[in-house]
Amino acid sequence: MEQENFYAQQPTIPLGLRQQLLQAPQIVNKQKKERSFWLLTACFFLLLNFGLYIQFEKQQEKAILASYDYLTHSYQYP
Amino acid sequence: MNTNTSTPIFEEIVSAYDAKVYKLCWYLLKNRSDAQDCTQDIFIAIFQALPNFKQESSLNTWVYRISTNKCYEYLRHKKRKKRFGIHVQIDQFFSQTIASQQQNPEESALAAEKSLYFWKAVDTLPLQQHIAYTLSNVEDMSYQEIAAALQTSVSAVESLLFRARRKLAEALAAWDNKKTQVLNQKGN
Repeated sequence: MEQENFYAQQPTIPLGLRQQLLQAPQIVNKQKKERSFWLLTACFFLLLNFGLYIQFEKQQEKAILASYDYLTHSYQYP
Repeated sequence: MNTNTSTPIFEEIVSAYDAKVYKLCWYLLKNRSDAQDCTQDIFIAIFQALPNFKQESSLNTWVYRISTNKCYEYLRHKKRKKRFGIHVQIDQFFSQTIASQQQNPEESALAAEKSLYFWKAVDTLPLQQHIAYTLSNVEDMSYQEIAAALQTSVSAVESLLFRARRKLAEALAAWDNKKTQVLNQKGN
């Protein structure tokens, strides 16, 4: 097996591999931008959901108060 | 070290290691496009990890540690693909490693078959043995260097290489026996 060196042949390095590898900083920057975009989008929707929830809660509170007001002030006691 | 200062260093690393890393990926993954993709991923990981490089180990060891980790991930992914029936093709190059050294066409065909058999046997090795064996044979790395790259002890590397060599020798002996039997049957 020692005589048959299966690892003897050199693979050919593809043309332009180095150029492709030198793109790594740009790829990393692009990935960072994409990641921050999706993070911001997720945060935006999270905040939107939270805002809508607060608004809904306030509306509910207002409606309860209005109905309480109506019931206490408009009802004629005998 | 910020991105601007690490870029010239990264360029130096690329020019020093691109061929070596590609060769390692090529021998581990046995497929041109996989090797190219894996090399790209390795250099992206190197660029991302460069600001955290503390120079506690040599640059060589550090680059090989990242490379072996990435190749390990790729091989695991490849094995998972195989389990789901997706066929991963071995490049024709690997059937020609010894065949090209033969003069006789019949011997050349046999050698090509044997090469392919050998590479398939290498593929069946457990991942750690596979990587250790390739590092030892592709880069002629010492046991200490392989141990540093695989983050293990020298005795563990010795054991990995011993088991890998034994399995491959058994596989090649089985192939030789099979061929002898076939030739004897033809002779009869």
